[in-house]
Amino acid sequence: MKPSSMPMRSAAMDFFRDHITYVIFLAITLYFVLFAPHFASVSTASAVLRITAIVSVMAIGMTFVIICGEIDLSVGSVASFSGMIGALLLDQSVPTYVAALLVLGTGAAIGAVSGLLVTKLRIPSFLVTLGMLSIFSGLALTITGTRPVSIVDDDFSNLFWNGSFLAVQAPIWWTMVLTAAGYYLLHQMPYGRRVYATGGNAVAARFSGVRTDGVKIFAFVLCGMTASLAGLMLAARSTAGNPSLGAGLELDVIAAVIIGGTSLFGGYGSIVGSVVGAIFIGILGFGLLVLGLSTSIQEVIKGAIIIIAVSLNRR
Amino acid sequence: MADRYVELKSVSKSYGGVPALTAVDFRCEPGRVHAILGENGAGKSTLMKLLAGVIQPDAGTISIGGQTVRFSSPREAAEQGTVCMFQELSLMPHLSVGDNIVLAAPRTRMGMIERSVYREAREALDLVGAKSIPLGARVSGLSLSERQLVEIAKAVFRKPKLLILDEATSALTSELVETVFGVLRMLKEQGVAILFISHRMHEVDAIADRISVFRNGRHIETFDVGARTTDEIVGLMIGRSLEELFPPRRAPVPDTAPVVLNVSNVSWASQLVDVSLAARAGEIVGLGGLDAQGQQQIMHAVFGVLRGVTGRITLNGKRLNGLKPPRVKQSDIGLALVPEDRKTEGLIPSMSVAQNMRLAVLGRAPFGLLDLDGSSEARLQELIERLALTYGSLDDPIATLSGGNQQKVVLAKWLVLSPKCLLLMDPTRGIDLPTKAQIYRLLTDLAAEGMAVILQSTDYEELIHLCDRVYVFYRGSVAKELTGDHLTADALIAASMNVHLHAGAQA
Repeated sequence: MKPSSMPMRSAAMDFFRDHITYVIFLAITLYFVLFAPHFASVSTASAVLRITAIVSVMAIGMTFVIICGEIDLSVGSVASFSGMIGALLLDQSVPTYVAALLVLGTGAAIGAVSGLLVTKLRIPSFLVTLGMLSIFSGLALTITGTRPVSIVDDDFSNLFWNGSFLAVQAPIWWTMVLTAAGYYLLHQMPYGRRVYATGGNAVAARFSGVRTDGVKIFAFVLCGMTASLAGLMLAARSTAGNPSLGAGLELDVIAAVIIGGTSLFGGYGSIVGSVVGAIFIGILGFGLLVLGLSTSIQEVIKGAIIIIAVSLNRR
Repeated sequence: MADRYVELKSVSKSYGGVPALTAVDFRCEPGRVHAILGENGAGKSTLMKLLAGVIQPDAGTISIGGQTVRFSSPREAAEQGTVCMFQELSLMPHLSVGDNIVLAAPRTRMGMIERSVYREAREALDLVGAKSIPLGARVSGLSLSERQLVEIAKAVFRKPKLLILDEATSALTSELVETVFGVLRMLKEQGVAILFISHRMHEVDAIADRISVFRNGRHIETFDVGARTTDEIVGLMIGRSLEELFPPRRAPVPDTAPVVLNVSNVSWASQLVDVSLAARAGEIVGLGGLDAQGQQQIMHAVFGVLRGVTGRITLNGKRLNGLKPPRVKQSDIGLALVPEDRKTEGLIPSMSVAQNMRLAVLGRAPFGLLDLDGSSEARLQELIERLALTYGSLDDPIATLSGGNQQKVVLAKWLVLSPKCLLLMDPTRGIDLPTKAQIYRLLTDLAAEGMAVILQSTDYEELIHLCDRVYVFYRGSVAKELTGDHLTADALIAASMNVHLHAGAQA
C-alpha cells in the first residue's frame, strides 16, 4: 500500500461525494431566489423552517434507524396516533406537560415493540413497520370513530407550535434542540459509534462486544419518540388531534434522511445531513408553490429531484 | 500431439488493483496429475477460476489443445471439457443424488430428460466407490464425505478432458481418499489432464506426477514429484526458511503456571461434543484439525456468541457460561477474540482506522462522552508502534490498509483492553510474510507477558512452530492433544483425519 496518493485522492472524492447534494441544494435555492417572487426574505426563511420542522424532527430519529441498517415506515401513522392521544388526554384535562410526556412515552413504547420484533423475532424491519403503519393509522381513526378532537389548551399550542421564545418560533426551536441532541448522541457519544458499527457490519460489531440488538431497539425507540413529538407539533399546529395528520409523512422523512447522505444500507450518515435534507424538501415544495405550480406537478418535480439528488449521492 | 493440453502464457489477473496472478506461464499435459501447491492467497484459486471460465484474465492468453480460448462463462469451459470441483461443495441439497449428477448435462429428448442418463449417473457413482448411495437419496441426508463422493461422481459423469480438483479430498477419510485416487489414476490412463490442489503433502506425493509451486500470485517453480524434499517445497511455498518466519522456540511453560482458561465437557448442538481443554498463563495453545470440525465453534462458545452451550467454561475461576461478548470483554474477565474473517467479522468497513481500533474500548469512556483523547489514546499509540502498523492517516477508511495491517487493527482493538486471554481464529490467513512474522513475534511476546493465547489455525506450520500444545479436533470433539516431540506434521495430519498414519506418508 502506498499511503501517500490513495488517501489524498479518496479524501477529495469523499469531499465531492459528501457535498454534491449541498451543491444541488444551493443551486435550486439560488434558482428560487432569482426567479420566485419575494423568495429571498426572512419571512420566507422562517416559513420554510416552520413547514419543515415536523419532517426535520422525524428525520432525526429516522437517521438512527437507517444508519443501523433498518427502516421505520410507521412514523407517519405514529405521529397521527400520538396527536390523537395528546388531544384526548388534554380533553380529559390532563396537565399539558404530563400529557406531552405520556405521548412521548407512547411513541417510545411503539418504537420498542417494533425494535423487539425486528431483533428478537428477526422479522425484517420493512415488514414490521409496514404492519405498524397499518395498525396505528387504523387505531388513530378508531379511537374517536374518525372524528377530530379539538385542542383548547393554549399552553400546549404555544409549547409545540404557536409560541415563540427570543423571537424564534417554537417549531424552529424544536428543530434546533433536537438537531443538537441528535448530533450529540450520534457523533459525540459511544452509543452513536455503536449505531455506525451495527449498521456498518453487525457481525463484526457483535464480535467487538456491541449489543447490536439493544442498539437497534434503542434506535427504534428514538424514532418512535421523534414521531410522537412530531405528532404533538402537528396537533398543536391545527389545534386539534386529527387521525390523518401524519399520513404519508414517512416518505418525506425517509427521503430527507437519504438526501442528507445517509446510506439506506446502513453504516453512513449524519444528523445535520438529514435536517438539511428535510429543509431541502421544504424549500423545493415552497419554491414550486411560490412559482405558482399546482400541487400535483409539485409532487412530480419533487420526486424527480429527490431521485437525481440521491443517485448523485450514492455510496 | 497434445504434449500440452492447457497452456497459460503470461497471464495476469488483479482484483480492484490487488494482483492475484502476475505474469503466470503454466502448462499441464494430458494423462498427468499436476499438483498445485501454495499458501492461502498464493493464487491457486484464481488460476482454477481462470481455467474454469469463472473469471477472465486481464492480460495473457489461455490455450487448450493448442487453440487460444477465451471463456466468458463456466458453461463455455465445460463445453470444452473442463470440469472443476471447487472447495465449496456445489450440490443442491434438496435434489436427489441422481438429479444432482445429471443436472450438469441433462440430455433431453423432446424436452424431457432422457432416462438413460440416470444409468450413466449410476455407473459414475459406482466408479467412484459410492455403490451404497442410492440415486434417489436426497443430498441433504448424506454425510459430508458421501456428498464429496457424489461431487466427484458428478465430475466423472461429465467426461472431462481437464479435471480440476480444488481441495476435493479434504472431507474424505483415508480409505475414501484411496478410492478417489484410484478413479483419478483411471482417468489419467484415459488421457485426462488433472490439476490437483491440496495442501496435504502426503496426498500430493501419493497421486501427483508433477508439482508447481505458487507464491504471491507468481508461478515459482515446476518439478517432478520426488525431485525435491518436503522441506524444500515448504521453503518454496513460503519463500523463506521456517527459522526466519517463526520466533525461536520458547522454554515450556511449567505445570505450576496458573490455568487461565478452563473448558470442561462443553457441548453445543451437534457440533461440539464433550470438549475439554485448558490454557495456562504464558501458554500458546493451538486448535487444529480439518476445516469445520468444531474448533471455530469452541472459540465462539467461549466468547459467548453461541446460545445453549452446555458444560463449564471458566476464566481465572470465573464462570463464563451464559455471558455475552459485552460482558466477557470487561477487564475483570478480560477475554478477547480475533475472529476468523477480518472483513466480515473483524472490521466495520464504513469506519476509519481509528474508529475501528476504538470499537471494543468504547464502553469504557467516562460521562457517556466518547473518550477521544483520554488514557486509551496513549495505549493505542503504544500499540500502533508495537504492531508496526503502516497507515496513511488514522482517519482514513479501513479499506485503505493492506490485509496484514487490517489484521493488526483488529488485534489492536482488543489489545488496548489488555486481555488476560486472547482467542485468535486463523489470524494470519491471507497475510503477507513479513506481517505474519510480526504477528508471530507479537503472540510470543504476549505469552511471555503472561497472557494465555489460544490460536485456532488451518496452517500446520503455525501450530507446530508456535504452539506449546495443540488440540486436534475431529467431528466436534478433541481427537488428540499433541505436545513437545509429538507435535509433528505427521501426527497433526493423522489426528486431523482421526486415522493412523498412511502407509508411505511423509511430510
